[in-house]
Amino acid sequence: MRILIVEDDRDLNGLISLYLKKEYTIDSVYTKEDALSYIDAYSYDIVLLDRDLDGADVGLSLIDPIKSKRIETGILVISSFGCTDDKIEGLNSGADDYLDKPFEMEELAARIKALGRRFVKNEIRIGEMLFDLKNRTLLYGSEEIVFTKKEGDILFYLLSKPGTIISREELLDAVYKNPENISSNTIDVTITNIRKKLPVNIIKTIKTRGFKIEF
Amino acid sequence: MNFKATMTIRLRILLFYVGVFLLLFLVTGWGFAKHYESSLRSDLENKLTILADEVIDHRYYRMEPDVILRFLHLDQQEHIAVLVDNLSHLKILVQDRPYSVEDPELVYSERKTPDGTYLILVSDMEQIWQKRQSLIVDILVVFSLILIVSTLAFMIYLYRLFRPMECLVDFCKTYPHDPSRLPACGGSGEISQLKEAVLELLDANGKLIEQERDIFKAAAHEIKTPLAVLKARLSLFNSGEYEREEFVREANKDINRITVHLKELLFLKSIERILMGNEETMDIYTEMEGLIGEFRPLLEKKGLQVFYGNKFTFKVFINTKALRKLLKAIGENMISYAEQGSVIFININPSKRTIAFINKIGREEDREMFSSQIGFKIIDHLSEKLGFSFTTSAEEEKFTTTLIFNDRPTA
Repeated sequence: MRILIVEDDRDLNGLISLYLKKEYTIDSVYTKEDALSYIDAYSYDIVLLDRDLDGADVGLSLIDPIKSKRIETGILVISSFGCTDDKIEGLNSGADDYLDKPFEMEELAARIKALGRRFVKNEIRIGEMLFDLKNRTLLYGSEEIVFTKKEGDILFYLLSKPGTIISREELLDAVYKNPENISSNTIDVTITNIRKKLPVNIIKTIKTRGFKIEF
Repeated sequence: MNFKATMTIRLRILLFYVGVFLLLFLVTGWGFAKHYESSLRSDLENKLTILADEVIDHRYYRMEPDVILRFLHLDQQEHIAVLVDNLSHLKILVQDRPYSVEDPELVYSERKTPDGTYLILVSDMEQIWQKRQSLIVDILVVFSLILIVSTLAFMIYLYRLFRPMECLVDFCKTYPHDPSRLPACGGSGEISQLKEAVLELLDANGKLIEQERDIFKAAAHEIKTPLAVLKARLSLFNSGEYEREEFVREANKDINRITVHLKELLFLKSIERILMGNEETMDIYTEMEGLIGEFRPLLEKKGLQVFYGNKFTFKVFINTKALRKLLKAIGENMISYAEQGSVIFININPSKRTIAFINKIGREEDREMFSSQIGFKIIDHLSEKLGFSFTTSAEEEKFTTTLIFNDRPTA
């Protein structure tokens, strides 16, 4: 699961990042501008969003761009503006959860997990196939096919958007932490490996555009 | 709560109206009844004179009073007989001397007869009083009816007159939940003025509350974030991510940060109380001298020197208590974070009405603390209330704090 931490306090940002990075892929930004460019560039499962950035209550204005990019991204607002009206404002703006500062890291982790359960699917069933992201396995009848981490991530991403053409760049952004350092050929090679493992070829190549799941 | 406080203006006006009406009724009614009584008395006197003339003309005065009355009843002129019938307790006296009885309850007419005797006709006032009583009752009935009708009409008028004021009260009570009710509150010029004044007051109050909320919201943010950092650090320490020494060092920094913000918040609370104080004239140079005098031990301890760019001054009309406290806080900040053994410059510019403090920042972490956002927000908030503006700028190692005073008249 990939998480973006938008928090202007460098100490707090660093500590949250340190706490969460054991379980998740973490990106950290300190300003609204950086947050916007990261949201535009990558695909996140969860965004931890501080309301007050650089002394201004502008954090909530990032909710729209986040949800426009990917509606399935869970947004957890972390804020010291903790009165009921502030929480209502945050949740009405489109946030999925609101956590008042100061908070326990364990509570933060629990809320992230809860958001993950709501927004991140761990299983996808397509016809007779059942894909389990946690174990990166595909059950087809009584047959169990095991994928590597990247193969599993790519297949899961494709299966989550059946019928949609997905570009190589989008796949790179979704699956790799630093996609700019990865060649798009890597995607082609991984897709070839996935196809070899699949009992039925459901991944179609759309010339110059990308890939599509088709039955 | 006393009666006066609970009595509405409407009721007071109504009571005043009824009181004035009753007073007018009493005065005019009394005058009218008096006039009526005197006219009846005069009429009675005339009647007695006519009868006396009749007695003398027909020489009845030589007869006994009872006979005279009988003759008058039998008079050929009918009106004489009617007059005699209508007079109550008419007494006829014929005597050698004039009538000497002074009784206000009796009316009499006296004529000297050709025989040299005195003919006196006397009647009592009973009929006059009866008529007067009857008139008073009539007046009472008419006045009561007029009072009831006019009071009801006046009550309706007062209700209509004061309705906008009640509307305004309702609006104030429900504000800001139902601001749409305001347009119904239109009334007379005074009510409109009151409405405008109330709205201005509510608006100003709203802005003040918003300002207070913003400043405390900012203060809460500044305090809650380092608390969150401290808690996060503790969680990581418990999970073994930190060495003990490193944790203690970092946690101390967090605690210092929290302490600074708490002090600023307490300062804000303390100065809020004296913001309502009176404004007085303050000489800036004299004030600076006093301030430096207060800080002398601290300045000496840090080896700091204070230099003036000039010896100019200007006067401001301001809440001196609050400004002194604020200047002291700025001074404390400056001294705390100024580099050991450095110089603090104070530039007073009378034409621009500014005071500028220029100091050298010590360590890098001091720079961060010195430019604490909450500090600026507090000073900004207070300067706005006190009537001056506040700017800061940092250039290399120099930090400049400038106070710009409005050009306001002195007392």
